[in-house]
Amino acid sequence: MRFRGKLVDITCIQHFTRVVTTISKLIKTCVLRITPTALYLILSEKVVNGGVQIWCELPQGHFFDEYAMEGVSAEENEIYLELAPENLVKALKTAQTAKWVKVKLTKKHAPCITIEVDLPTLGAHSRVVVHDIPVSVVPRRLWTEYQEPEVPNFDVSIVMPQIKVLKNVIEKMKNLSNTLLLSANHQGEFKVSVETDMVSVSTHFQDLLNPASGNGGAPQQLNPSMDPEEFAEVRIDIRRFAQFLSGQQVSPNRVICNIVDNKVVHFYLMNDDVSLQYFMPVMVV
Amino acid sequence: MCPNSLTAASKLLCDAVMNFQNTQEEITLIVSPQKIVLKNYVEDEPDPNKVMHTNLSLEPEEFDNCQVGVDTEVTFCLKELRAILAFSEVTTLPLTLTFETAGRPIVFTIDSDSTFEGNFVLATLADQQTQSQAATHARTATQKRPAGRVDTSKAAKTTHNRAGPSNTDLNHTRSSEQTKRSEQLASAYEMLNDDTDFDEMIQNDTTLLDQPSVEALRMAPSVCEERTMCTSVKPGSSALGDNMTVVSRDNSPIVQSSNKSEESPVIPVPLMNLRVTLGDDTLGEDPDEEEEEAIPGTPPAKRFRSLFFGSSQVSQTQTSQPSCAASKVLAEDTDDED
Repeated sequence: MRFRGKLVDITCIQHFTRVVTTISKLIKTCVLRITPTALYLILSEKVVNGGVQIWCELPQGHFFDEYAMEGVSAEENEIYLELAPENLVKALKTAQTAKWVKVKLTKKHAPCITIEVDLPTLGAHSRVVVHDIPVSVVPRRLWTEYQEPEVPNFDVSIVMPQIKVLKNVIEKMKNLSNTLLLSANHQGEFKVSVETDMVSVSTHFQDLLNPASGNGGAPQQLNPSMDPEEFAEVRIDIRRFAQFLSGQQVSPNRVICNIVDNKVVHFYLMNDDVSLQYFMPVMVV
Repeated sequence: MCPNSLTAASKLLCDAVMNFQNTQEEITLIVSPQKIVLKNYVEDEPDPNKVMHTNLSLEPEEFDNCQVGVDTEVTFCLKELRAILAFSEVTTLPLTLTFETAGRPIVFTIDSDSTFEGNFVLATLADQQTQSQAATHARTATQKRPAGRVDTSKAAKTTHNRAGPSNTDLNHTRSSEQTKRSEQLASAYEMLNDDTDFDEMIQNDTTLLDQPSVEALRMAPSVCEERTMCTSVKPGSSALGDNMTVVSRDNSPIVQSSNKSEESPVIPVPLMNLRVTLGDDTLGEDPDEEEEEAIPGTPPAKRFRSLFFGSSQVSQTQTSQPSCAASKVLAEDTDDED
């Protein structure tokens, strides 16, 4: 198993840092999957994660100038490592003005992802900082847990309003209740509301886009029996949603929200080539 | 005496230290003639294999002066170093590190020749391998000279070196030295009561179980001696009565360049006992006792007998009750653990 990548362009380094920071704000540990074409940051759906599922794809060509990897075997040319994204962020934070950053899989005191940062100096000497981030290798038999999540047929797919605006609304609603009702329909209407004994507050957004597909790709089978005006709704934990909104470091081009009534809510963020999918657990009524 | 000495622009060290986490407590400096490495210090528990390691190499050529007599690794408090660097960077003066081996203190010196000199002494982790032997005590006890108001940064005690006109008056017998010292302690006590920075200074000291940091106050021997002899005190600093040494940062006509040969080298002894060094003499305890106490037998007591706040109940396992007032320390251990 070998992996070696080098980021040279400072904007790439900064972008990479921002993506990893976004992930680190959502979860404590995740699995890094290394393939010849891309890096993936994965959190699989498990009870211990509270039903959250995250799938983030970073095409390597978008970030790395040099990229070489050798998986566990020729047939299964992939590497799965479990790590804390926060450590990656700490290391990358020292690289924001770097000349280059190398990311390598190494074995030091334990298997590590080593981040080498070449910092600019006044003199002729090079200044290299080395960070060793401990990782644990995920054995092949567990790889099936970390597959791309199956995207179900959604009832409604809608482009969400601006994150900043939505974030402010949700922050205020947080004070009222722990549960948020999220709903949308095929006519570009999106609604967030909270309900307490005394009051019910809802914010409506209109004239939003309903994309043909839930993930910006090929059109998928949306539930045909849905009445266009009918809202599909889910109940989610408001704090988790607020955390998701405030953690966004990369201002995505658009965020698509897909809903299966009372079952699934899926957020799909797309920015340049980087895509992030986030399944949020739903409180079933 | 001090086989290792590095001098560097404060900026070099600042840049180096920037690469370590803000929450990082200790840092290890590893020197060899070929290179100088800074590493974050990782404690044995929790699992060192689960923690991120960071290291940074510097070349000897990057330093203004690099003298490595003994290949060694010293570990000391990074937070204190950051405080020292914050001060030294402002002065734009180079910072000199002198140290020996693990367990022996490390001294950071800023010298501006004419105006002031700052010495910061930190303890280093005694035994890199076996952490259970915490040989260094949490604080060096040295007598605070009757110094001027401490109004520099918290970690600093700048000494104003004066080689006064009457160096010949350094003849003291032991008994008179003792008396003088108790007078000095008394005056220091008065002065410190007024000093608001003192509390800050105590708070600033972060002492940990095995890796204590030290703020030792350097004794400028010539200063003590001339306490009663110096007549010209910088105006405006007379709050201390006849305590003559003042921290003065401008060029005062009374300042004379420090007569380095007169001062004894700093002996930041990691002991409970007070060490007052005058010229080349050592007051109070004889060298034998010093040797005994330097031998680490058990982890150090966390509580220091404070000069001002009375003896703490925790006794030193290796020392017997010091026979004189010299055993008291000036600044109390700031560790919150009780």
